[in-house]
Parts: sequence; structure tokens; C-alpha cells
Amino acid sequence: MTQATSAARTSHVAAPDHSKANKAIGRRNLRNGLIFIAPNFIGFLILILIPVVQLFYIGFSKWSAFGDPKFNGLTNWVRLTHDSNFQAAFVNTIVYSVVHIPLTLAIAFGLAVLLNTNLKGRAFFRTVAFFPYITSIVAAAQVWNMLFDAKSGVINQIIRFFTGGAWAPGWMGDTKWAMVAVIIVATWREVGYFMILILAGLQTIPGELYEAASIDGANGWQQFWKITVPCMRPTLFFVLVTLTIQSFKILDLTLVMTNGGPGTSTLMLAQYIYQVAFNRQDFGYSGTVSLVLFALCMIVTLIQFWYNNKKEK
Amino acid sequence: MRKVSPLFKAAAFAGAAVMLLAGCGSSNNASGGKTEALDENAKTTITFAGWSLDTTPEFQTLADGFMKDHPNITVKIKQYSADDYDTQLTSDISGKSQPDVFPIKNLQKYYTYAAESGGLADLSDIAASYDGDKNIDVSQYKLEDGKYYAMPYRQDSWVLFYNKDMFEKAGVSAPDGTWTWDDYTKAAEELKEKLPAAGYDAKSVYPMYQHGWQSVVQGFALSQTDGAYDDYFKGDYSYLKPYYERALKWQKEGLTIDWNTVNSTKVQYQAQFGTQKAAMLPMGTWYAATLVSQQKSGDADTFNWGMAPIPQNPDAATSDTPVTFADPTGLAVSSNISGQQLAAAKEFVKWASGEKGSEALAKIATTPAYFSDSVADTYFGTDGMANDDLSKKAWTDHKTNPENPVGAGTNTIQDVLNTVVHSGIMSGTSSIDDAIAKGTQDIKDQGVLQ
Repeated sequence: MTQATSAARTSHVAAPDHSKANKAIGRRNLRNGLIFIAPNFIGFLILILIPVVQLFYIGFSKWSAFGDPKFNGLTNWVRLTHDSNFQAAFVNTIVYSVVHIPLTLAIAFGLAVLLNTNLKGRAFFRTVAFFPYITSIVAAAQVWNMLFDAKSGVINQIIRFFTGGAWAPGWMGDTKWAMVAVIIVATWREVGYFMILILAGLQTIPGELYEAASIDGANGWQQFWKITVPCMRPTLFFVLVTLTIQSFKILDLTLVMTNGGPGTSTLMLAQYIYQVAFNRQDFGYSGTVSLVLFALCMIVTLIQFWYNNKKEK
Repeated sequence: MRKVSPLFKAAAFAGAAVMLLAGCGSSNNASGGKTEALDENAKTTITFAGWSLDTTPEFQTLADGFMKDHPNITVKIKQYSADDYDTQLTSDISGKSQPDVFPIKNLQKYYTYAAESGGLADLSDIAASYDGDKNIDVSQYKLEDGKYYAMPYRQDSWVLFYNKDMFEKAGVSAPDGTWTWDDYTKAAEELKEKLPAAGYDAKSVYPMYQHGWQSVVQGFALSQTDGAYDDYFKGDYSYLKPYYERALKWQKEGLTIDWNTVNSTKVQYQAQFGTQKAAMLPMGTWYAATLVSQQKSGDADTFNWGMAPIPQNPDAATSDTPVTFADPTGLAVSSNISGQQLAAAKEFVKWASGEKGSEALAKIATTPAYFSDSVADTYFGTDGMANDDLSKKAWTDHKTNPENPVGAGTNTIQDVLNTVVHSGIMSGTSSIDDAIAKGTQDIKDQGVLQ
């Protein structure tokens, strides 16, 4: 995505030059531009674009990774409609995203606003909040698994203290609670990263705006909604798009923490794609599921773009 | 653009590379072709795939033993990752860059490799040379077309490991080779009662340890129930029910660590049995070699142990030969090689699956595929190995069925039986009937039943 946008941006820069200045300069600029994006673009082309384009064929074929994919029309797509595992994975991915995205965004924004003030030791707190993001996901998931252990985990010991030892969730062993646990860990992990992005955005807002507003008698709440949020729209938009795509693609965390279980309660689309391809050797059908995930991300991103454009006007 | 899973992209890319290469590469179709006779004087080098070479000495042992017998042939080992072996091998075969000789870890993947990839050479002539030989069983590698594309070099089987000291101290009678799963349960209940008095910690020591794998329940159900192998492709999985009822009972009575804990804390069966936290452990014979070496290195406690025949299905007719399961580990030859290289590769497979290779493996306490008396003597003569009569009987005398039937739908069926049925029942999220019904429906929906 970033490569694509940067490539698009470069060619946009070249285009007006081309029409304005004489042709030689235009051609030279174009050539230089192409040379600059080449290292990135070649990698993108070979490693991402070609496979993605191929996917559109593989998704309509039967293929065991050996030999050539055999076109089989809509068979895979019909199969999707009565594949309960796929449906479970689809619903889980949506549920996860719908809860995880607003939660992460809200907490990241809150933390960023808090750490943008003259709080004592804020550098320390910024580091602490960013720490989970640079921790190895496997190690973090292992530790969380121990914390969430239904019998002897620290979390349940605390909960039992409040419920008088009577009740505590089953977490990883319980279909209803496993997803909650996954969302908690995912939010814990990603909040720091998005907080840094939002923090960077907050620091670009000129202090004069707040000064002027307070002279005019605006309170903190009004300043937040009338100055901070509008000025933050570009940053928030970027954060929202990356967060959405990341959420839809979630794989590593559930793979290590729950392996999709118990049952299919935390099975996500990306993991199902992997499972179908590498456990069942059914690359054609896994291509079909990949296309669904692709379409899902695409549609949501387009809606976000459309909404952002509308708001900017 | 980055929305597809990276793993899938890698595979798609590998696929793209294959298509490009296949277009311009020379097609080298040696599979099914005639093999040149091996010329012992020709200098030949063959490559051989292996994994975790530091902890798995079998590959080096086979290579060294073979090179000693065939001084002009060099066997070069190419190291793979143990966990991702099948994924790596799949991309190598589809890229026609597989090693000359490579292990086939289980039968489930064997079918896909042999029937669909075209990357495996026909080894039917080696199979024919074992005709009528009672010491080796190669039938599991026979495909529907009557051809063989791999030969076994290891034939492990599931047995019951038990801690003799714990049984003795608790005063419970040890396995005698006639046990059914009901006897197993009874012994476990007795141990549960008597172990604390014998000085074992009631909280952390269990009578048995049932590992979390699907095969620990389903492998026995499939191999010990009459007609289950036919039911498997017909979509009737009711044979699983009695085995899951027992598994849940053991868990409920605290005879073993419960499945959720096994998974969330990643319990290792080696530690559980090796540090005397469990008196009985159903496990494959591969564990014997690990236990011997861990007792030497101090990773495991020193205690007396033995292998007993695996308990039998209490609902089936009894037979003298205990029925157990395990997939053979096989060796396949690449279809990309020809001439002397192919002859040498085939000779290596023949050597490794035969008595000489088996002797070499038995010396390092690895269960080979060729069970002659001298191989058994070598195996039980290794230092630290259990060598009572029951252990010998358990190791040599059994009917070993495959872990799952081999066919086009096996990969999918096994996957659903694992993710939906096994995980659903053992985690307690669905009842046995519900999980089996849902799994059956899922398998039907995938369109893989015959």
C-alpha cells in the first residue's frame, strides 16, 4: 500500500512538470523519478503485484501446488457459501475488527493527548507504551497465555479475589472468552504504535490555535473537538486505514495464542487461508478465501477514502 | 495490496517462479523409466534431506553407514527445518529442486506428493525385492495404481511407556500385555489412590499423561475399530465416540492433565514422563531413544521403565497380536535424476530400508523398518534401553495400522477432525455428539468424501 501510494505520488509530481516545462526536462524528470522508485517497485512487482494478480486466477482453480492450477469456474465460490469454517473465520475477523479498531484508536488517542501535556516523566511513559509493539509476538503471547491461565493465572487470581473465588472466565479454554483475551492482547500490543503516530500528529498543531481559542473563551472540551480533531484528520485517517487493514489481516497473534481455538472460536481468515493451503494442500480454495479477504479490505478502505474526501471538502 | 497473508504470497510467488522455470527448463522425466545398473566404481554424489541434524542423528548414521559400504558414492545431507519440513519440501518439489533422496514424514502428505506432484521416482522394483519378506511391511506405500513411490526406513509404533518404579512403590500391578483401555483406566484409578501414600506429590503427579495431539485419541479409535478405515472416507466418524468418552473421563477424574492446560502451557510429554510426573504414557517408540539419552544427560530422572503393548479396544474381539498405529517414515527418490545418480539414490533407499540400514539405526536406539531378530537384539542391546520380555514383545510383535487412510481427501479430513472434532471435544466447548456431527458436516461440505 505504501509503495503504491509513494509511486503514485512520484508520478503526480512528474506529470504537471511535463505539461509546464519543455519536453526534455519533463522526460529527464520522468526518467529520474522512475530510477528512484525502481528499487522499491521491482521488489513490489515481483513479490507482491504479480502474485496478487495470479491470485485472481488461482482463486478460480483447483491447485495442490504441484503442476498447473486447473480452472474450475465458480466451484470454489459455491463451496464458500456452505463452508461453516470459512463463515466462522469471516465472522470472527469482523467481530475482532469491529471491537479492536475503535478500542485501539480510543486508547491510543487518549494516551497521546495525555502524553502530549507537560506530564512528569512523559518520555518514560511514551517508551513504556511503545514497548509492547517491539516485543516479539511469540514471547508476548506465551507470557499472556500464562497470565490468562484459567486455573493458576495471575489474571484469574485477581478476578477471583473480587468475585470471592466463585467465578472467573475460562479465557483460552472457553469459546466465549478466547476472543476477548485475543482482543485485549492485540490492543495492548498495538496501542503504543498508533499512539506514537497520533502524538506526532498532535505536535504539528500550532499552539497559537489553542491560545486564540482560550482567549475567545473556549473550554478544553471545545478546543479538543474544534481544533484537535479537525487538525488531526489526516493523521487519524492514516491511522484508521492502517489499523483496519492490520486488523483484518491478523494472523500471528491468534496463531501463537490460541491456534484458532478452542474449536473455531478465534479462527481468523488469514489463518484459515494458511490452514487450507498448507495443511490441506488446497491452494486453489485458499486463493478463493484470500480473494474474499482482499475484497473485504478493499471495500472498507474505499469507504474510508470516500468518507475522508467528503469531509475534507 | 498487502492484504493477502504473507505466507500465501510466498507460496504464490514460488508458484510463479515454477511456472517461469517450467517454461524454459529442460523436462527431465525419469519417473517410471528404466534404471541403469549401479556401477560401484563410478564416483557419484547424491543429496539427502534431513532435519535438526544435531538432535536427530539418524540421517548422518544412514549416510555414514551407506558410504562405508559404497565407498565411491558420496551422500551429502541437506538440512531442512524440522517444523516446516513439509512446507519447504512442497516448494522444492514444485520448483523441481528437491534433493535426490528425501524422507516422507507421514502418509497424509505422501499421497499428495506421490499422486499429484510427479516429483517422486517409481520404487516398485525395490518393493518387489521385499516380496514375501516377513521382516518388513511396505504395503502402506502402495498407491491405487499398484506402484510404490517410497520405502519405509523407520516403522515406529505406539506403545505404552510405564514407570516400573512408580507401579512397584504404589503396589499396583504393572501392565501384563493383555490390557484393554478399561484395564488401563482401572490401573490409573488405583494409581491415583495409592501414589500419594507412596510419596508422590498428589498435586503434580498423575497416573497417566495423555498428550494433546489428535492422534492420541483418534489414531487408536481408527486403528482398533473394525471397519473404521472404510467409514473414514464414507463420512461416518461414530467410531470416535467411545474413545472420546474415555478421554474425557480420564480428564474429569484427574487421571491426566486436562487438555486445555496441556495446550496453553505447552506441556512436553518428555518432561512429564521423564521427571516422573506420570506413571504411564502412550507414545510412539521414537520416545525410547529420547528417554535413554535424557536419562544419560540428566534431563530425565533415573528410574526403571518399560514398554508394554498398547491397551486394546475393550469393545472389539481380542486377538493375540495387539493392534496399534503409526505411520512409517519413508524415503523417496527424486524423479529429476537419472543414470548413475538415480541408481545410487535407489541403492541408498534399498540399503536404508533393508537389514543393514536397520542395524545401523537400531544401534542408535531408533526403531527401523526391518525387524529381523538381529536388529531387535541390537536395539535392545543399546545402553540404557529397557530390555525385559514385555518391552521386546511390545516393540516387535504388533499389527501397526496407518495413522489415517491415504487418499485424495485425507489432508482435509484430518484437518477438520483435528480443528473441529478433537479441539472441540477436548477443550470442552462442544459435546462429543455435536462435535462429531459438525465435523462430519464440515467434511461433507468440503466435497472430499468418496
